[in-house]
Amino acid sequence: MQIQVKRDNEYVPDIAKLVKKTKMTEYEILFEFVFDNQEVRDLFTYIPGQFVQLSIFGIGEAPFSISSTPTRKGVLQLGVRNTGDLTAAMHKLEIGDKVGIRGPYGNGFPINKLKGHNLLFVAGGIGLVPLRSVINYVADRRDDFGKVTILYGSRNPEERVFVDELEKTWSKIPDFEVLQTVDQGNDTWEGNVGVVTTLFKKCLVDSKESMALICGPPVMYKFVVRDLLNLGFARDEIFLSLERRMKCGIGKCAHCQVGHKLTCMDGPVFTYFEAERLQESI
Amino acid sequence: MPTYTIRKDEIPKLVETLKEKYEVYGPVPRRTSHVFDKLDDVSKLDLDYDSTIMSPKKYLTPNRQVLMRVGLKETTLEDTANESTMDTPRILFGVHACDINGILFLDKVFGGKYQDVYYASNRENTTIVGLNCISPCKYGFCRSVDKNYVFEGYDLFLTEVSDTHYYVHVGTPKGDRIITYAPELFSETSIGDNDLFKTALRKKHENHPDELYLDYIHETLDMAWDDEIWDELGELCMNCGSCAMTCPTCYCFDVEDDVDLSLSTVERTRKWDTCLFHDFALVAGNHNFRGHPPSRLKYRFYHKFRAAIHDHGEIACTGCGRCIEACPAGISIKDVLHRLQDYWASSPTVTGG
Repeated sequence: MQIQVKRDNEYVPDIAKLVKKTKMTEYEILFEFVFDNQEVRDLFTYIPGQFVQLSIFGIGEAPFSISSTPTRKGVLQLGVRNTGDLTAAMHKLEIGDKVGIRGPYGNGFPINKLKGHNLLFVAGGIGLVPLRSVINYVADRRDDFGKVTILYGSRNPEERVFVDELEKTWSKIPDFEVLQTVDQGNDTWEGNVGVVTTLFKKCLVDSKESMALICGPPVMYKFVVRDLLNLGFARDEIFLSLERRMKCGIGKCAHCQVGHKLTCMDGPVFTYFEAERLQESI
Repeated sequence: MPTYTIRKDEIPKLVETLKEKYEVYGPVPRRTSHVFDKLDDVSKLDLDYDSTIMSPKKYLTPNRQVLMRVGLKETTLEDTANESTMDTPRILFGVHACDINGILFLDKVFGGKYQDVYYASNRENTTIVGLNCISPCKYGFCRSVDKNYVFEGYDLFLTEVSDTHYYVHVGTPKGDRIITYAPELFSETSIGDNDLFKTALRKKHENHPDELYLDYIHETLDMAWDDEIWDELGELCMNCGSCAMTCPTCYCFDVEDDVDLSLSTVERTRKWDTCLFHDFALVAGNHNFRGHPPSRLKYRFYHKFRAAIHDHGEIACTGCGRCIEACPAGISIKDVLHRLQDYWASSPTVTGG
């Protein structure tokens, strides 16, 4: 059960201030925001996998997956690639600048179902942004979950996000295994080269007692899911986070309709079983 | 339940009386068709209209609705939701059953878990005087989609029972208020009036063709996903969005920040949008989930006749026929459904027409 400030008008965001900006790659920055209003700050919480609508006033509003974990209270982080008008404006924000944030919206990953299971994370590129929320949740509630395997694929070594956490934090946690791959290596890259599915051969993934969480570019899902099914994962043990264009985030504008469901209200997390039944989903 | 009659030639007087308390909107002639417009000149009101170019949804979810005003300097937010609770309440006069059903559909879309306060206040501020269609309109097929009558959604409802009189049903206290504002114009009905009403309804049912079989339409669409009809129609469709703009149930919107010339104030504004437009499913990084034009036209059908059943328990079509009239490519939603059902439906399709 989430406790939130009840809004009279769901479209009007709360004002938040940029407090930290961490450059991750040439194109990605991790932003950290704090709400101006003390009551909102106290009550704002979320489920890993949920998203917020972020406004840069005068430019617009767009949905962003939350990258922080609710287990670390008072921290709201969004990992954002500079790729459009709004994200370009975001990248120019300075510490102290004001934005609008409303949410959280969407269903998020089913944390209670994941409890007691081994977890396999498969992330491609900035697909790691929403999965990081779950990974750190699991790290903070270590006893509630089994073995954790993180497979991360990226175009090249420079475009990897959260490298410090991958290499210095997560890989050091007992029963956490981190494997990385890149489509194209460079002079210093000594790791795996190939798409993310090539990592399946490099680790022992046991589908028993396991659940898989996937997020990445649209093209990735089909191949990852195929391999997971071959490994013996059931269709409802595979969770996908989908991306769609959104304007309202609250089931009104219909931009994010996928099949007969709405990504903002019914998703963005769907089991593969559900996704198979949604036309054009993956 | 009290019912009334009102003389047709007293309608202008009724509207004049109501204009003291309301802004009254109704169908008026515009070139070769009709439009809903403010009745500054009551003599322009033409209740004998076929259909209107746009549906009355434009008064409940207008093409341009300011959601909030933002001062850029200090980042101040001014919620404009209360502004849409206009000082003067509105009456929509002479709304056909299809459009009332369209409004009932929009009620579901803008209600639910997250209330849309802009729509809700426009709706609250609006009184609807419905009008029964004894004869069908040129492009409509309301009876085929079960939208040729109203259960609720009207405040007053007029049925033409003779050359001189309307029979009046009162649906809500809002409608009752209209009666109390001009009591001398309404007479309580007699047994004779009730007979006339029944005769009028019978005439209506005889006049309205039931020409389209829509049962199992969601199953049909499941089967027709790869049908060549979508590419064929996609070639014709210009993705102009006229069908969606004129549709009483299409509600998709875009939200834009409109900045004033001095770059000091922003009006965050929602505007009508449609799934037929190229950028409807375009996301950052230039990935378009529906970049191929036929996929957008197909999606419109799947949303209306499949997803809407999931989301709101009914199809998103009132059979008003506006899209058929508006389409510059000559695509008829009725003919498309006919073709699909003829080929895919598990039961016989045509029951008439």
